[in-house]
Amino acid sequence: MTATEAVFGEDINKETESLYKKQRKLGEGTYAVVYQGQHIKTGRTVAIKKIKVGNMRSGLDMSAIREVKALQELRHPNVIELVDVFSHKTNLNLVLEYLDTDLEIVIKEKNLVFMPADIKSWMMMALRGLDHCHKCWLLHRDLKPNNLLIASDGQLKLADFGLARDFGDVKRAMTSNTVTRWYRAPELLLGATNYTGAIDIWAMGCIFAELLLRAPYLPGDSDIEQLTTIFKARGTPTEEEWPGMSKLPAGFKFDKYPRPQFSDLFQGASEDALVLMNLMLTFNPTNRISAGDALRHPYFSNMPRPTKPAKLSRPKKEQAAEIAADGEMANNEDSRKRQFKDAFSDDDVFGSRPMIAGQANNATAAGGGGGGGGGDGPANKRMDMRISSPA
Amino acid sequence: MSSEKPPLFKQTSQYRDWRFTPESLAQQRAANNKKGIERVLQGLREEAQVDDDPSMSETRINEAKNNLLTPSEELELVDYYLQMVHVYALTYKRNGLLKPDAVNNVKATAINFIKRFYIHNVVFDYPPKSIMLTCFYLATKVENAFVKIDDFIRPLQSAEMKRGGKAQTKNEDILDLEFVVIQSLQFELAAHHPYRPAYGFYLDMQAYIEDKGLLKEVYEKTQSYIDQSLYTDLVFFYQPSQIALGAFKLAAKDKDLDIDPYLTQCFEARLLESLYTILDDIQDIVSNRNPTAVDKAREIDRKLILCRNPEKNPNSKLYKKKVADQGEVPYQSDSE
Repeated sequence: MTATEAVFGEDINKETESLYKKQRKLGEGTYAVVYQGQHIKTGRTVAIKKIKVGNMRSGLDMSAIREVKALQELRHPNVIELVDVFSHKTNLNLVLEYLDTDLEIVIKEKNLVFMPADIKSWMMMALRGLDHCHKCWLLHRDLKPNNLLIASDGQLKLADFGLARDFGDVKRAMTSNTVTRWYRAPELLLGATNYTGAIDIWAMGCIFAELLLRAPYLPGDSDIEQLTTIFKARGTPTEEEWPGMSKLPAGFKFDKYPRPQFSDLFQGASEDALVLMNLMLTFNPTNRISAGDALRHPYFSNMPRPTKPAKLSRPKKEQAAEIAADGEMANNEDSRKRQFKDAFSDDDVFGSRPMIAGQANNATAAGGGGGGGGGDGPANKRMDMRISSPA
Repeated sequence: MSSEKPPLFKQTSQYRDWRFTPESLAQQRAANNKKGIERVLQGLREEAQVDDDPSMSETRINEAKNNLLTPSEELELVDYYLQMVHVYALTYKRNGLLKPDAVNNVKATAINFIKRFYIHNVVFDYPPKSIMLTCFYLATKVENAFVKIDDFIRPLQSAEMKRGGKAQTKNEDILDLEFVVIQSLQFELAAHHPYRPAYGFYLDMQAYIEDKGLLKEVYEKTQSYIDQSLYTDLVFFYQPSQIALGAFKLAAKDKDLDIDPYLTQCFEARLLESLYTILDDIQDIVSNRNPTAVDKAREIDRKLILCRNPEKNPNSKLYKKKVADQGEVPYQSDSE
C-alpha cells in the first residue's frame, strides 16, 4: 500500500497552471480575455478564458460562478468541455476545448447552402446537449445561435453557461429577466418566476426557425414589442390554449392576432420539421415538448438522415476569421460595465446577460457581417465565450 | 424511486472527486496534519531569519512544538465552526438577507465547502474562523442567494460591537480568501444534499403508508436528522439519497413508524440487504455525533495561535516580508 500524501489546494492549483501555456490573445473585453493555449505535454490546443475578478466589489462574479459550477457537472459530446480550471492571483482561468466557429456565423454566411439534412443534424446535436443539461437539472437560460459553438469535426456544442442555474425546486423563485430577447419564451416575457426547461426549448424552437429562414424568426425591438412580435408570428394564444397565462405577473390583455399559415413563411421546410418546430414553440410551457421527446420525434428518424457532423458545411477559414475578428472588436466596454453593476444589484442575481438583449436590436437585422464597429450587435456578447480563430 | 438516479449522480463532481472511505479519509487527514506541521516548523525557522532577535525565535519554535494540534484536534476545531454556520445562517435569515427557502441549501453547501476545504488544507495554514465566513459567502453565490459583500459583513460587525469591541471584519477578510477556498474546492461548486431526496422519499412513501399525519411528522423530524448529518463525514461516504433514507429511518424510529414495508416493496431483497447495512451505518454515525463544545474549541484555538504557519499568517513578520519582497518585483501580467 502506498502511503497517503498530503495534497494542498494551492499545490494542485499551481500544478494545473503549469500544464498549460497561453499562446496568443483571441479577444479581450472588460470581463474576460480569451487566449488560444496549449496543453504543454499533449500539445492539445485549448482556449483559455481568463476572467478578471480583481476589481469586482463583491469578489468572484456570479456569471463566473454559474459557468464553472455548471460546466464541472456536464460531460457530454454536445456541451463545451471544461478541461481544467486554475487561478492566478485574482484571475480565474477556464481551460476550455477549442472551438473555431459558431452557428450564428454559419447562418449568416450567405455563401453556404443548407440542406434539410444539415439543419436536422445541427438541431439533433443541440437538442442532445440540451437534453443532457435538463437531465442534470440545469437550465441554460441563454440559448441563441452564437452560443452554439462548432468544433472542427463539425460537432455542435452548447456553450456560455454564465446564466445557467439548477432548477426543479418549485418553491424557489427565479428571475424572469433572462435569455436574450429574441429567444425569450413568452412565459418569461410575462414575468414568470417559476419556469422549467421549457424556456430553453422555446429558444431552440427559435433557432430551428432561424436555421430554416436564415434570419432571426422573432426579432422584437423591445421587451414589450417582443410579445407582439411573437403573437403576430404565431397568433395570440387563447386562454384555452394557455390556461393561466392571464395570471402571470404581466399577463394583461393583448391584441388578438390570427394564426398565420406557417408553411407560407417556411417554404421548402418539410411537414415533419414544421410539426416539431411548432411543438417547440407551443405557448403553454406545460405542453411544450421536452428535449427528450423532441429527439424521439419522427422528424429525426424520417428521411433524410441527419448529415454526419464532419460533412456539415462550415464557413471557409478566412471568412470565419473575418467575422469573428469583427465580433472581438465590437466589444462594447460600456455595456459590460453596466452589466456588472446589474449582476450584483438583482435579488436573484441572474448574472449579467439580460442587458445584452437590450443591445441586440439592430444586430442581425442589419444582416451579414457581424457586429461592425458600433458594438451594438450580439457580436459584442460573443467575445467572452467565443473562441474563434481570427487570422 | 429515489430522485437521485445513480447513473446521473455518478456524473457529478461530488461523486467523482469527493468520495472517501472512512480509512482513506483518516489517512488523508493524518498526512495533511503531518505535512502541515512540517510547514509550520519550516515557516518558523524562516521567520527566525527575518527576526531581529534569534533567541526569541527559538522560544517561539519550542512553544509551537508544545502546542501542535493532532488531526483530531484539527477536526474538533473545524466542527465547532461548522456549528457557527448554523448560527450565522439564522442571523442572516432574521435580517432578511437570506430568504427562508434558501437557508437549508446555503447552510449545507457552506458546511460542505468547509469540510472539502480541509481535505486539501490544514488549520495551521488557514484557521477555520475566517475560512468559515468565506465558504459561507461563496455558498450564497453558488446557491443563488447572493448577498452584497457590504451587507454580508454588517451583521458580523454589529455582533463584534455588541460584544463590546470594535467592528473588525472587513470586506477583504472574506474576499481575500475566496481564491484560496475555490482552488481548494478544485473549482467544483455543486454540492448535493439529502434534503431533496428526502422530500422525494416523503412523496413516494405516501403511497405505501396509511397514517399520513404520522408520516408528515416523521418527515419533519427527518429534516433535523439531516441537519445533524451535515456535520458528520457521511457526505464523503454515501450518496445524498442514502443519507436521506438513513435520516428517515432515525425519525421513523422516534415516532414509532415502520417504513420497512415501503422499502421492501421498492427494492429487491438482494439490494435491500446491502442498503440496510448502509442505512445502519448512517444511523450510527448521525446518532453518535459529538459536537465540539465552546470551551474545547476555545482551548484548541488558543493552542493554534502558537502553532500557526507564519508563511500563511498575514500578521506575521515573515508574511509581511514576503509581500514586501514581492512588491519589489515589478508586477508581471500573465496576459502576454
